[in-house]
Amino acid sequence: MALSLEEVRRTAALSRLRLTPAEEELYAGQLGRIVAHIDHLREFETSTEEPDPPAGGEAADEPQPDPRGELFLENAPEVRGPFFAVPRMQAGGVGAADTDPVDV
Amino acid sequence: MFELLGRPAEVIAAAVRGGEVSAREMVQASLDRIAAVEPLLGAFLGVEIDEALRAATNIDARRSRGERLGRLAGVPVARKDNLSLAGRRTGCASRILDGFVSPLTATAIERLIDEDAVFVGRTNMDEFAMGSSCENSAFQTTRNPWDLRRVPGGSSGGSAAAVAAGAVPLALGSDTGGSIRQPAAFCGVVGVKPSYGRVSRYGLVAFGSSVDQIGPICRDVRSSALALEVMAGVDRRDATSAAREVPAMLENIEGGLAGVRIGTLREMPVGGLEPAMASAWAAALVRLERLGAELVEVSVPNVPAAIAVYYVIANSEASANLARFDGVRFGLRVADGGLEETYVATRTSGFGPEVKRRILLGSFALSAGYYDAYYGRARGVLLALKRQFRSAFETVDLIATPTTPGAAFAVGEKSGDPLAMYLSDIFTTPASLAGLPAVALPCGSDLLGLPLSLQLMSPPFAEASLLRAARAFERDLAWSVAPEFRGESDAD
Repeated sequence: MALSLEEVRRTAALSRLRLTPAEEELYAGQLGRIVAHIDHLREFETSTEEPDPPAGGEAADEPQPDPRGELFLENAPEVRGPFFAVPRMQAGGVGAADTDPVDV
Repeated sequence: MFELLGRPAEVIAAAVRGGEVSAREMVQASLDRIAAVEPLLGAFLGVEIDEALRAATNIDARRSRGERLGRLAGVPVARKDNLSLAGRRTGCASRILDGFVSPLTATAIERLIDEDAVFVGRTNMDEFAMGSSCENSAFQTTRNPWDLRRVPGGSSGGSAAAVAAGAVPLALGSDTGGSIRQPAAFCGVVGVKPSYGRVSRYGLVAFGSSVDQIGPICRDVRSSALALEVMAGVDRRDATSAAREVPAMLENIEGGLAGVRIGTLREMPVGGLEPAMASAWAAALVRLERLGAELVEVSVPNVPAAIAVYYVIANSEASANLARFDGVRFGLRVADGGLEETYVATRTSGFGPEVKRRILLGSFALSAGYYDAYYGRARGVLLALKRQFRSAFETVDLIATPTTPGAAFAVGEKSGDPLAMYLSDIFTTPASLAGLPAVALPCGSDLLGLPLSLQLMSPPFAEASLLRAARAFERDLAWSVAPEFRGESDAD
């Protein structure tokens, strides 16, 4: 069983991935075989009983100063001042700046 | 020094603390061994020579000032490339994290450094820990030191190969569906996946958040126990870390197997074992009985569903976790017009084929119209699996299985068939899904001399009992980690 090309394209769009026609064919076949295997789950018992999670290390839900802010910015492809810089939402707008700042 | 490098971590640390050898000599020995074997193996993506020698020199200086050194004094350690160490590269063997330097240190690493371990480099892996052979690395294919024509397993293949080759006595891996245990099995070493919640994941790049765990890969059980004890414990920076007492794992580790009830799974697919593994498995059961264990068959009916459940749950989580790689905050950016186009171009260019396949699978399972049939169904089967394991552990202390269906396969043998690759995780995914601790340890070899491995699982947070049993088996088998570097590597 293969997934339809339409299903693969729709899933690629959700995944923010661009596939070539050859990749669409390849993934349609491969994902179809995997999904056919997953379909066997119908044969197994199910439950809705959620086990208690172990008590965890939750921190208080309070903002903490993070002295590493600048270190995070150092990894960004583009920054403007203390902000990550990104392309405009829509490409090629008249008079558009190259980038809009996004807050850290 | 090379000889000492092959000894258990506690022996190395005692020698450094006692002044028989310096931390710098120990680390230099590790760096020399890495330089010697790397052309054959390709286990490392980066060796951090200056940083490692500087850290070792500091340890020696502290000793000369009379300071007390830690339990891992001078022990060289490698980390998988998805574990963060501040100021050093972390890349998940992916082009999308090109140039990324971590601003933080993983808690597990921090705790090892607090005990004076020295980190020497980052090891190769399947990209974003997605794979069972290390062939999905964007940079190189690591080779198995027992036979260079074979894979080391994955995804922590670089860590397992480095330990087996004697380059480091301890390497860190991460295990989502078997990524510590399967490469440990293929490389003839010991790999431990702790209970879900036992070790903080702060600083681990997330793949499947409900299953990811960090654990040690070592040449022996005692070193694994020591490393786990040091890394374990609650961490306020990881809300999923469990506030459970960490037992002294080495305290009773020589206690043996007498009276321990070990379960074998009625539903285990023994028909799929390679003949050598079938023989080694039968021999392992005889050995466990001879050591005083009582074997009991137990039923966990959903075990045969584990791979299908795993590939739905883990990849659904991965499709969400990997949404953060979009060219805005770190790594690669491929500008292509507007913001949305840049997201798509960056991800299309930066992710390799297996990562794309898994993101697609996860997005498909979570998408409208398919969610109930795939994610919802998998979640229901998973919850039943957990309940079945809890029930089984009411009658046994441990459960034993092979770690893999057979020995390491050849490079390229399964890379064209994703489903066949996934099915090789058949024995490791159940413990991952149920959050159980599990250890993979050598149990013999096949006719070609390739290692075979036994897996032991226990109820959550029973690692001390689990490792005691593993130690008893290891002591009796007297396995030698002595890979022969057979065959010629046509490595990249």
